[in-house]
Amino acid sequence: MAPQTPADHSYPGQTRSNEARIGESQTLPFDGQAPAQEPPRPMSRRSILRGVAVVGAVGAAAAAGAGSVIALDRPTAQPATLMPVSKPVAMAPMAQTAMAGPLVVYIADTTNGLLDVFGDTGATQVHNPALVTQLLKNLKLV
Amino acid sequence: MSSHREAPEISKDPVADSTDVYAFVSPDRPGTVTLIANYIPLEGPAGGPNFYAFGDDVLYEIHVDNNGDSEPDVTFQFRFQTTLANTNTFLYNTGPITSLDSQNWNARQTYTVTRVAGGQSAVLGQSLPCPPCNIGPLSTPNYASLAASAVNTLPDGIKVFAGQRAEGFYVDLGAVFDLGDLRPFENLHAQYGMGVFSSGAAGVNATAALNVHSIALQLPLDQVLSGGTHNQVADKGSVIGVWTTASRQTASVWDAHKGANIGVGPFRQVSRLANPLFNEVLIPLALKDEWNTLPPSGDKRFADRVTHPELASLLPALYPGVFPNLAALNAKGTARADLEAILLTGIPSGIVSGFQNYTGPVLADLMRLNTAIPASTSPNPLGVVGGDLAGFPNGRRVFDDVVSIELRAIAGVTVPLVDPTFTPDAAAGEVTDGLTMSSVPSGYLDEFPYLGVPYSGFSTPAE
Repeated sequence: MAPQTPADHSYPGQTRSNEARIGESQTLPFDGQAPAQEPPRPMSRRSILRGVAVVGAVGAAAAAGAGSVIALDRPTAQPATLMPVSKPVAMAPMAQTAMAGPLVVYIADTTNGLLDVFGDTGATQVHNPALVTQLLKNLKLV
Repeated sequence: MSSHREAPEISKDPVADSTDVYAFVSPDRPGTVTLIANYIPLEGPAGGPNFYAFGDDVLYEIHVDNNGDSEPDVTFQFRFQTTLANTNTFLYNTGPITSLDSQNWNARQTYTVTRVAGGQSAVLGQSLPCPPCNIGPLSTPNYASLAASAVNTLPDGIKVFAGQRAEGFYVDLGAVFDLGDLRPFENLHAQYGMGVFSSGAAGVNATAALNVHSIALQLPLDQVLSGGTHNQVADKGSVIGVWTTASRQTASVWDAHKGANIGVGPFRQVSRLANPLFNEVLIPLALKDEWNTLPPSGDKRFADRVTHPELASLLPALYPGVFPNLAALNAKGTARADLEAILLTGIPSGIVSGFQNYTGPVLADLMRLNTAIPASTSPNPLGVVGGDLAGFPNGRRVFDDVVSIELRAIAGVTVPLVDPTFTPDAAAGEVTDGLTMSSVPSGYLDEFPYLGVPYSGFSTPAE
């Protein structure tokens, strides 16, 4: 295959590797040994508040999703509402385990109202200018 | 380089950046072909503690066209998975790794190989182990045999390997990208009036101590050819076109909670490679990333970049008086049918005695291999230009001197194949960056996966 390959294929690492063959049992002290588990820390007020904030964010996201679903199902002149955290709109029924990963919406051009929606390895395209407008308002971009 | 960091976007994404494709009849196993796709350019061997690995979020593919339409008829897909054995250490390994199931090896990769043909997918192997990177004599003693144990044998006589290898491609990057300096002839360079060089110099292999990651397959011919026996050189069915692609999911979101990029959506191609230097040298900077996203069957759009290559115009300008015949050819605006045949259609019968690797009129950048031509017993790294029909551009072997071959072709040495009245410049047959396969310190292997043992981090620190 390689007639002009240099006769000396070795290089310092290889030469030394033959000299330095070491038994598999030689390991660093912490190898493979997980440290003893620490006892659970008492929850601080701050951590509890942080947890509440996360729950709130999830609720807001769910409400936003519901608004999106309604808007997508029944496109009307009414702009979809994305900020009804205090008054969530009726949610379309969704399985709790609909999908494990995120949905990502990409709007390449806000003027045409097209949303590319990605989930898992799939994609779909939705035409909803009202939702795009509402998103822009929420982001204070218009 | 061949295709290392060849386009602006992919240069920021090394794990998805294809660097070289090789396709050749296996010299030690007649009746099989070896296909290799390299990724992750310019790996500094000492790059720990997070040593190099394939992208778990990248879909790697090697495609084979066997009927001349430049569409994939057989595709081999590779998906990788990284696992951490010990989440309480920052180390890649916590002791010597002497086997692929070593408990000392913390960050390891396995992979799945899937064959797609005729709309059907079949998993050929899963949970196949990659070898570790070559770290040094304490961490990876006896590395050559350790890596050899990661050559997996699959059903139907298929061999597969995925892991680190020594870079087999050699090129004098430092000079070439310094305004086209070719050190052996640098005294003839225009030098823009600066008079920097008074004599020629030996080439310097910029990849001499660097590694890559290879995906290598050794396949019985019936795995890649269309039905029936194709053992005659003139048989169109004996020619395959090979290329590799890497794809990422369309949307990528930085998940700050996980500290990770999350890929979502369909996989879309971000990297493509067949012939060395195609995208690198022929495609303009503004189109390189787009080219990476396209299928080869659409390369007609770029045909003018091949038939009127920018480099052919640069050579007479950079080396005044050295390439007068090439300059005259350029001045006439002659389309380079020789380059179109070599890179976009394959060479038809009747051009080179006893040879063809023509896939038909579809213009596509494919690595074309006539599988009926046996491996050479006395290979010439200059391939077909050097009279060795088993070498580039009939496929590509790991040691082929593709830089010199393509430089000479662009300089005009292959024009007489299509225009016998043309006399190449004397320099066209000599032009080179001054390197040979002996410029690769690791050498090459005589057996699968043929690329040399990777340089270890211990012995090759960055200079």
